[in-house]
Amino acid sequence: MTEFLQYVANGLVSGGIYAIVAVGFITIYNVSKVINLAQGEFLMLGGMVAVAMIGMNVPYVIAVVLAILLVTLVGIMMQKYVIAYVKKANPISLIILTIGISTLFRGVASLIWGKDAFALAPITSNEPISFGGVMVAQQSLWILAAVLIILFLLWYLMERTILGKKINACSVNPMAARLMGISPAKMSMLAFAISGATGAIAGIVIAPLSVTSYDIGVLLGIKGFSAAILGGLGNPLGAAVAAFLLGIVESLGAGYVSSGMKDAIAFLVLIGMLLVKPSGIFGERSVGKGGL
Amino acid sequence: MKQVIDKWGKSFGIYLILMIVFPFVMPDEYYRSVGIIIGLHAIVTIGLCLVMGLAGQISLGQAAFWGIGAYTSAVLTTKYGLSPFVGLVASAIIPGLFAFILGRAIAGLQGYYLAMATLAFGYIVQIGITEWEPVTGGANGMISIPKVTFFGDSELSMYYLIWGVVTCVLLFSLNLLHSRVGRAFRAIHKSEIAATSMGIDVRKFKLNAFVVSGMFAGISGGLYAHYMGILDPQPFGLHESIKFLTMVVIGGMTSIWGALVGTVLINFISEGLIMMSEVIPGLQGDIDTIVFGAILVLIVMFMPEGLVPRLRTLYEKSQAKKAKAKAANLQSDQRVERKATT
Amino acid sequence: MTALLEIQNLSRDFGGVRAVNQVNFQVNKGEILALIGPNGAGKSTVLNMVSGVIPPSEGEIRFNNKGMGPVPGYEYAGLGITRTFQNLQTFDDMTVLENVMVGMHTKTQSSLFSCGMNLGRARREEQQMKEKAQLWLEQVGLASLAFSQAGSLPYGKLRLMEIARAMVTEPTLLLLDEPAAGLNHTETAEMSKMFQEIRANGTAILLVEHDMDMIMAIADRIVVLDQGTKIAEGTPREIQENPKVIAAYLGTEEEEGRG
Repeated sequence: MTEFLQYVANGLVSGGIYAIVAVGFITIYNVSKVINLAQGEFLMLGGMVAVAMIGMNVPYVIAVVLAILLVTLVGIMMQKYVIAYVKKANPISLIILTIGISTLFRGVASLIWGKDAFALAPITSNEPISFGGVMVAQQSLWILAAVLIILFLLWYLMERTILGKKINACSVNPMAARLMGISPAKMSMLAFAISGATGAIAGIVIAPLSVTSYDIGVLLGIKGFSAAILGGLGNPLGAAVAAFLLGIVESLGAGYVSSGMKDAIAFLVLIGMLLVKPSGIFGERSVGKGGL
Repeated sequence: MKQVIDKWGKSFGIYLILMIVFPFVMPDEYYRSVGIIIGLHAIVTIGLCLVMGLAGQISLGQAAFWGIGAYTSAVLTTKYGLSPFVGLVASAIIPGLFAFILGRAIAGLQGYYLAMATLAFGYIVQIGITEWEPVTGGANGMISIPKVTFFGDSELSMYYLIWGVVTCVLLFSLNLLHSRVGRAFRAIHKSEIAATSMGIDVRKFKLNAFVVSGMFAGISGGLYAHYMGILDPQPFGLHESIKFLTMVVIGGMTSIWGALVGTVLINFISEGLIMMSEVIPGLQGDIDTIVFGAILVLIVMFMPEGLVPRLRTLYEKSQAKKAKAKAANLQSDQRVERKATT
Repeated sequence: MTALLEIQNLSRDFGGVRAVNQVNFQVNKGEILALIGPNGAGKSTVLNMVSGVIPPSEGEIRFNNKGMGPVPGYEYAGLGITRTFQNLQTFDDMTVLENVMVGMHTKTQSSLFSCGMNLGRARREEQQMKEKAQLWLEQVGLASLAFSQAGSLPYGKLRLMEIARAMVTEPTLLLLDEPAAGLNHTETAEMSKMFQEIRANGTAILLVEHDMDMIMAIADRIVVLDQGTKIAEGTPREIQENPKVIAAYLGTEEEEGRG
């Protein structure tokens, strides 16, 4: 039983990270109908920049803040100079474009930092805490805290503020939004900024637990996307729940079946899900053709 | 139609000459091996072009079919002692079957779903190859895979064998392009609604394109295994899939010739980068990843139709301009004449 | 008169909004039936259901006495129903000839393999397709443009091309969605003549159109929709005099006049 709970606890932590990636996907998709296949790279960049700056003796807190700001800026620039430029591109072109961006980021990261894996010092000590036999790293608690705070803030932003209403308006009817004086382009930029910032935070909080390297983005991206689909693209809450489920299933699979197959399990879930019910467990608000 | 055949014939003639003389212009064994690799890639990208440019789908897992083909033939010949010929046939069929099953499952999917499903498939296959150690040798891979010796085992005979296959695949695809089936693919790409109303079973034809591309990739993989003699799971991952994607995109998705040109171009760029990294010591990591990523982004932004279609349009425009100028000249000449007579 | 197409209690909802409500009518063999009505009356929605693009929410469509409910969209062409599109759906990167040849899809069988290998059958069929497509291009007056890229053609020519593409499928029922939109007077007149010839050769036409001159000139019968409901049906003369139709059409004009 302890073993089972241990796997569940591990799964919750990775599930939380997938949740952030999934919500990042959805935030951008809702506003601009673009699936940003470079979403995972935001996490990689966040973690790597923080590690690099701490390596240059920048104080921990400042390094973290700078890393988040930098990735946010990357997100904004990506929207402004690339995505906005090809507005009328078809879905295939947009897929190629964002895959290209993701490849570019990965290449640049490997050029700057090499292919080695780096660890970041944990926020608090390395000592794990025991909950009735289930050992949980302190950093895991930080991860969960960060995930929950991000999810809450996003929910608050979207549901309780004027800005959130504006973003929603753009996702429902861009034309009407424009007539109301809301700029869909600006809202799209904001969505990229939010995705960049949350991605960077996620990348930083997991860096101490599972080392970070130039190529962690793809896997995290696919898993986050799987969760986004499982939850129903366009439904952040459903995606978050699905992400936690995915994390737990994966952790159980790795524990009881084979650790080498851990990543394959997530993908099999994705493909299986696409076969059975592409609209997701919790239904889909908009048809995911993308780029429309 | 005559115009089409004329144009086609010219391109094909140029292709044949270049393909045949290349090993003599570049008699170095190294360049011949580069030529062989280009041929192997071309078989994959021509198939990918059928899926992407014609049927309008996307596959981010093409290297997986390549890998399945390679391991199929390698395992059958090395572990079970079958002849490489049987192995190669199987290396077309087994990936074709995988493509059929995957394609059937995801035929109704569009855009991002398809991209992600194929990406995930690519990962699963690479993980599967690595984990299925008793058969595939796992991460250590396989050694002493028999050579294909249909025409002897020199680098040169291998070059012609592989480019012979490329030529068959190319002809097959060009025929297809200007046929009932190829037009169905292209129709689906432009408008699924219109294609359906013309009686085209969109799902079936998408699946067909996917299976053909899987088989092409598989054949190439089988040849790769026998050419290399050794195998490990490393080249059958995302990096290679993106490389294939870049080749098709830079050459022009909608053009079979584009896939071929793109393949040659990207391989030259790769070779150039390898040479550069030998000279400049600071270039660690995957410099080619940066280049491929940048190419993908820049092409979509500034030349979405790709190199070959762009050049073709430019050529046609200049021809039209010439014809116009000629006509204008003629007209002014006539006017002068008329003036002279009056 | 034998019914070719029977539409019974046909309804369609879009997210709670009823676009088409309990519509009944039939198209007889070899007639031109015009479907008219103000903007938003549900004409295109009816056409989309009849051509299998979207399924009805309620009701039945019968073609040649056969319920079309379970028939997948791509089988319509083979059964004898083809259509053109209001906002053109042409294959821009193909030549005009190739566009029309796509219409021959159901009339040919060569497999992917025989096409790729360019076997005898594929070649024979290719030749047949070309000849028949040429024939129809002559019929619609596009023979000289056969080798032009479809994307480079003006609107009016593309409409003609769509008609040729539909006609090579040898339909018994041709669905036309505003074929005269964007055409000038002469072009419309030529097109009317062509539709009459098509009818004379035995193909029935269901015509959605705004151009009243064309409708009055060629339609055998007219069905009028307003806000998703059928409000009238009859010969052009009957429709012209029907007070309900006049109200539906002129009602809006009156309001405009007042404002």
